[in-house]
Amino acid sequence: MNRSLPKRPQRMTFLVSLCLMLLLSGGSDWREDAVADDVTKSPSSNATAPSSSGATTPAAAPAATAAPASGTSTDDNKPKPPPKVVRPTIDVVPYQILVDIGISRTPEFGERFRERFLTDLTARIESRVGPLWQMTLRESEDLQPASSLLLQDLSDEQRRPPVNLPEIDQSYQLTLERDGGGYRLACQSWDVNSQTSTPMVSRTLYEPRQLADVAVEMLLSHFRPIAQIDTVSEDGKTVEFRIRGGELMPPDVAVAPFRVGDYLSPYYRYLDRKQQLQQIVHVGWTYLEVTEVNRGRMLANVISTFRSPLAGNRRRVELMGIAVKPQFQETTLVIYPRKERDNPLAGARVDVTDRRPTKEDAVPDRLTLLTDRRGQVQLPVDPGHLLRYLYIISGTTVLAQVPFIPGTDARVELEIPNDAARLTAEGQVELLEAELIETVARRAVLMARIRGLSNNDKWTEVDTLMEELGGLPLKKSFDVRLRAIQQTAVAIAQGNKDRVAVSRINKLCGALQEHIDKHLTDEKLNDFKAEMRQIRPKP
Amino acid sequence: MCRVLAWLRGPFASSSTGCCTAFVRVVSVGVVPSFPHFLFCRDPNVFDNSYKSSVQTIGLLFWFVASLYFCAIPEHGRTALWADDPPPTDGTTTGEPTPEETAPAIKTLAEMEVPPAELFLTGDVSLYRDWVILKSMQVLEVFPMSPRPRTLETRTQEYEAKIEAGRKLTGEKLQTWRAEMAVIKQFEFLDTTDPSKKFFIDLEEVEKFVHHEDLWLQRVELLLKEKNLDLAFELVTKFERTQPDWPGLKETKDKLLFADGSARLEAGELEPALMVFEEVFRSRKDFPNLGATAGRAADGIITEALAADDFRKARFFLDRLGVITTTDPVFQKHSATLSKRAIAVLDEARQLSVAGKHAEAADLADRAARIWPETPNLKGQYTPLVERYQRVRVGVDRFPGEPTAYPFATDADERHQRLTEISLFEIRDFRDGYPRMRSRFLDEWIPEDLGRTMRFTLRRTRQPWETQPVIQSWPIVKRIAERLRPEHPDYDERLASYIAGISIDSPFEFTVRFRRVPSRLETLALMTVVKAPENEVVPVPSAADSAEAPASSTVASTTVASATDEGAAVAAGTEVDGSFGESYPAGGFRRIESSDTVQVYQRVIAEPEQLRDYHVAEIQERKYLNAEAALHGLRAGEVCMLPGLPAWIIRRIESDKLMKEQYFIQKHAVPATHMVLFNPTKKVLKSRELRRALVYGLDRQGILDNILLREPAGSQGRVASGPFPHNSYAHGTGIEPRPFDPYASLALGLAARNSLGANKVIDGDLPRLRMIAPPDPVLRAAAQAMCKQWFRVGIDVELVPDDELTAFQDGKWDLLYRETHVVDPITELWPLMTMQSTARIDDLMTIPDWLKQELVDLDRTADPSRAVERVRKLHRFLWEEVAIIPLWELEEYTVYRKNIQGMSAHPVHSYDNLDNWVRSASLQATGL
Repeated sequence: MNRSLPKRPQRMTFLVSLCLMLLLSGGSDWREDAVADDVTKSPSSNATAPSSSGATTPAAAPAATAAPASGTSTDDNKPKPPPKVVRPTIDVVPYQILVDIGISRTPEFGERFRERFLTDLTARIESRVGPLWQMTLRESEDLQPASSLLLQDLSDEQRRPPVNLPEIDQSYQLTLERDGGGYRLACQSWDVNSQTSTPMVSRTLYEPRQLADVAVEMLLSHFRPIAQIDTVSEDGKTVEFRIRGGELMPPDVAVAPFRVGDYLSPYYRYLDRKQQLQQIVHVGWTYLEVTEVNRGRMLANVISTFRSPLAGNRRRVELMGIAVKPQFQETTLVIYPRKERDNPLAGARVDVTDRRPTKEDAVPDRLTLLTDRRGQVQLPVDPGHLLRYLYIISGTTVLAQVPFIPGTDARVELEIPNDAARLTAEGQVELLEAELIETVARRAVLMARIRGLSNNDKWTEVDTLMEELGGLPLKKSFDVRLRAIQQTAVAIAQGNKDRVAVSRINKLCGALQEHIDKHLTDEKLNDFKAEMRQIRPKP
Repeated sequence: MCRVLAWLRGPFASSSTGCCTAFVRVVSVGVVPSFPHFLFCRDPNVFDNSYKSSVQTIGLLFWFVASLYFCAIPEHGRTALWADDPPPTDGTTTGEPTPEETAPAIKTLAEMEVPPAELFLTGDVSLYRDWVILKSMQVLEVFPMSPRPRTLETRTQEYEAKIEAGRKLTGEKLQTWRAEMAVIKQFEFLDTTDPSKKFFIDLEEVEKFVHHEDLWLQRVELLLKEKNLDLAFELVTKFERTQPDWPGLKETKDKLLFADGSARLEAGELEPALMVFEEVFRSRKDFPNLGATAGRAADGIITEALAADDFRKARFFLDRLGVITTTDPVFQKHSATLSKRAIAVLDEARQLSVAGKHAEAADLADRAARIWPETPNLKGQYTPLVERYQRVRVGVDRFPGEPTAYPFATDADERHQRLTEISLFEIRDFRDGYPRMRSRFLDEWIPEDLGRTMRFTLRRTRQPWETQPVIQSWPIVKRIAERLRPEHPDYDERLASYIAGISIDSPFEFTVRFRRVPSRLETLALMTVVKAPENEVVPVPSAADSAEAPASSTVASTTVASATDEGAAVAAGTEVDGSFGESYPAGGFRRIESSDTVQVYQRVIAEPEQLRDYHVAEIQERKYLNAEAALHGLRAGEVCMLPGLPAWIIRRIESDKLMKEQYFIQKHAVPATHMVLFNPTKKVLKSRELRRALVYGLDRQGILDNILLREPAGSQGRVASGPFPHNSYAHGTGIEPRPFDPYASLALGLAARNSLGANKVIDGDLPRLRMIAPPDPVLRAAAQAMCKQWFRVGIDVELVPDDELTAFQDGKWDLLYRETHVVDPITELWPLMTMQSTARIDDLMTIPDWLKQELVDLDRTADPSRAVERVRKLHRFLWEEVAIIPLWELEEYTVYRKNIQGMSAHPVHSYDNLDNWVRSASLQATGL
């Protein structure tokens, strides 16, 4: 199903893009082009749709509109046509990055140190990222007193870029403090487009000369490139992207936005008529695995628990994807039955695999976990297989199967159907089945013994055993009990409006009913009794 | 006839009557051939037949009466006067017998010889003769007389009675009476040389009869004089076998025994001699010279024992001598010696006691009592010393920590834990199926905010006898917190799921906030908060220190300066680091001595001085080979308490009146539940058919009756239907144990083979299963019987050897025979099912999901009544699922001497309420 990207004159595209960039004097926000009219009317403070108006970024101040490349019209009599707005595609638009740095106010971190640290940081980032970022790096008073604890406690509002910098795409907060005999760096980021943040990560080091290098590594590890989905295949299993800044190749290849094997998390951006962001909807339990990258474009496979999770771009709806980068060693998955969030599912079996099981490959090397009393299970990050498949199993039934990349979040919740009624029925059916087997076996043995005794004309013993045989439960008794189990369980499932559970319960009971009908027929018993009556000598 | 008269008159001439005093009639056999025969024949049939068939007999009787008439007893009391030929009574007598034919052999008494021993040992019984000694001291040898013994006395009594009965008789009755009197008046004998002849001797002419039995005994006495003891014993033994009640036998036997004892004494066999003298004493207390002779025998033994300081032996033999005589000089001498030595030891004990060395003082007091318990004023001095440092000796058959393949705590391990650890909560009682809890550390624990928080208030004081220190909040909070930390070895997942937080409000108050309200907090919090240091001696308070301490002080002052702070810290509830190895507040009983035969536990916090009453300070566990040996030890006074005795020994004690007077038999409140658990990792055991086959193949009642109780359908145990005791609240109604049905077992075994084979779990027959059983020999015997029964239904099960120590860890087992006490099923069922110490979700991995969900739901139920409903439901599920095989429950008992007081009325364990036990001093209980 993988598709190949269309072959294009890449070099030409790059040159054209570059020209456009030059014309745009440093490159404005790609979204700004799309909403140029609105932006000019109101320099919005909306962080989700930043404009370049009033932008004071030191790196660039992109123009809202592109001016004609050459002079003015020579024909003064004819009305001049309005200047044509050139909208650059997102693959040539760099990221506007704001890095706020908080350095602990200690004598060791003096003015000179600060300046040098910022300078080093800027130089190192530019040397690695190049045109991909247009960065504003500053020391922020909001991050004082600088500490990892402060970062951790920042709210989403505090993580967002300030309102006076609406053009910012991603903001980073970095703190530096002393940690005993060492130095602690802590970092986190906020992505404006997806309205998501990365968790705070800190590192302690003891060599001050490594501070700038480590800080850069941390900043880049929090960088999550985004891409816009151009097309979704008809079967919904592959998508084609346009990568933000994909054409702006960074000097360091490792910083390239996407590589084959990377994963993205899709989300919809709902805009209003004025192209203002109204809502962001993240597509849950869905990942996009990059299969091919060609500068600003790439192809990805859709991996989802849903059949067709992506509907493609529509009017006033943007389908985006943001890179998924595990930041934690593990993720806590909380499983709870539907409508019972306060009663998480304890003791539920969770199988974790690195691929979907098929008929040929049952994936025997699966990790089997049980949820604890709080319905939690810890999913560790496997660097070799970022994407894992989770199977929530109850009894003989798989309640849910979802793809998941552990480490992206500290805690994730998963709602599953309430299986209590079906599970209870399953237990009762199993017990009834065991009793059925016992009854059938005992009946068979008793019949054999009675036959043996009748052959030896021991009719007194035959009578005793016939009485015992008659005391064994009959088919009717099993039928009644099975029906009771079925009706009770189905009633509960219907009360929960769980059609799947109803179907499963009926299937479960139907299977046992077949066994009862097959192995415990009354005809056999009656025939045997008749046979005994026949061969019994008459008095 | 004249010659006969001459023979008779000769010896009787000296009689006072001066005339013929004997009357002998000799009748020729030829005249009436059958007469002598039926007269001397003891066979009544012969007599009757002869009598009835012979008309001549009637004639003879007539003649006899007529002769009596002519002998004419003129008046009552008059003896027969003459002997003459009686007139013929009928025409059948045809002639007179000749004197040569009727003359019996007659000798004087001096001429008579006692028959030889050979006659009695090997001789013909028909040769036995009785001697008739006449008043003339002449002796007739006659056939054995009847009745015997006391033949003469009996006949005399009959005669006198007859005379009395004959008064006022007239007519025919008088005649009849006269005839009967004539018969009674005379003894009739057959001639031993010619039994066809008979002769009569008047009653008054007989001096006495010497029966052949008397002659037998005379022969014994003659042998004694000859010191032929062996032959004498042989004679007596044979005599006793045939005539055990013969007059004179006892006296002869006593003489014989005494002679035997004397002979042994002379031979230097002192102890056997004493034993023989004891037997003589038992037979006759006033046997001449017995005390002195026995004293001679005991003297040697006691002297030797005293020389070796073996007081027990000396006391033992002196006691035995004292039974025979206490006035003998030997007894007086040795008892004085022992008393003197006992007093010396007691003096030393008193000095040690004053110096505060109570344990040593008690040892010495005990030693003094063992030297000579009859020492004057012993009890008065002994009692305070022994009661100041009270010891309880317990007989056991196993020590804690002994290697075994059984993976769970044995009874010995539980005893050790009870002694060395004190839990925050303890089970105080078990009534109506519910456990009652208590805490030694808490004044109160009050739920607040609808149970979401609980405020704990700690006790600020303790009684002097209590073994736990006064502890503050933080050690308890620390223990709780440890159980909430997943990385800690004591992490309790269940408790952690309940508790949201803990706060210390003050040194003696803390509050626990619950995430979920537990249905029963106390059983969840059965955590050790005080522990005895292992192998570390905390000095006992000295008298000098205690003099400064108030009587109610809770501080255990110490004799060693370095230990004083430690003791104070202990009492204050603070940790004693380093020396104790673990940061638990010290308390309970610590093990101070451990050997192959004895383990000694001592109070960590000793009771202070100046108290009026003291409590048990030391527990000594003595190991015996088995329960029988332990019982012997109890009888011998080596121990005064036996826990965990088998049912039949309990019954034996109950039926022994003496033991019942001396011992309490305390039944435990919770019976031990026995069951078989399945290895959850074994696929073959996931077959319900196989599990059911195993249940139906077990004759549990049979094993219970024959091996465990040794009594059919006894009250000391019963077949179980679940993992709980029958009186537990968790016991579901209507759930009965599955019957023994080998045919069903066979059928289900076959079904299991088919299903397992179809699922490719097995290839062919079922594999041989391995079962781990507790080390208790009785339980292993029961397990062995179970294996045999399963083998009969085609399921091969072998018992894992008890020395295969890693069988459980290596998973080389399939079945596990478990003995346990389930007190609170709501909290204990989960760990029981998963064979772990705590309830962890991960351990449920191998349990069916629906059953797992039931356990989880039970665990989450906060409402106690609903939790009870759930656990009852689970009981049914377990029964139907055959998740375990319930075997039986056995009542448990502790037997202890009645001088131990303070034991719980309904103990859950043998050592319940131990620190409040009082063992009053009893010389009897010291094993004297």
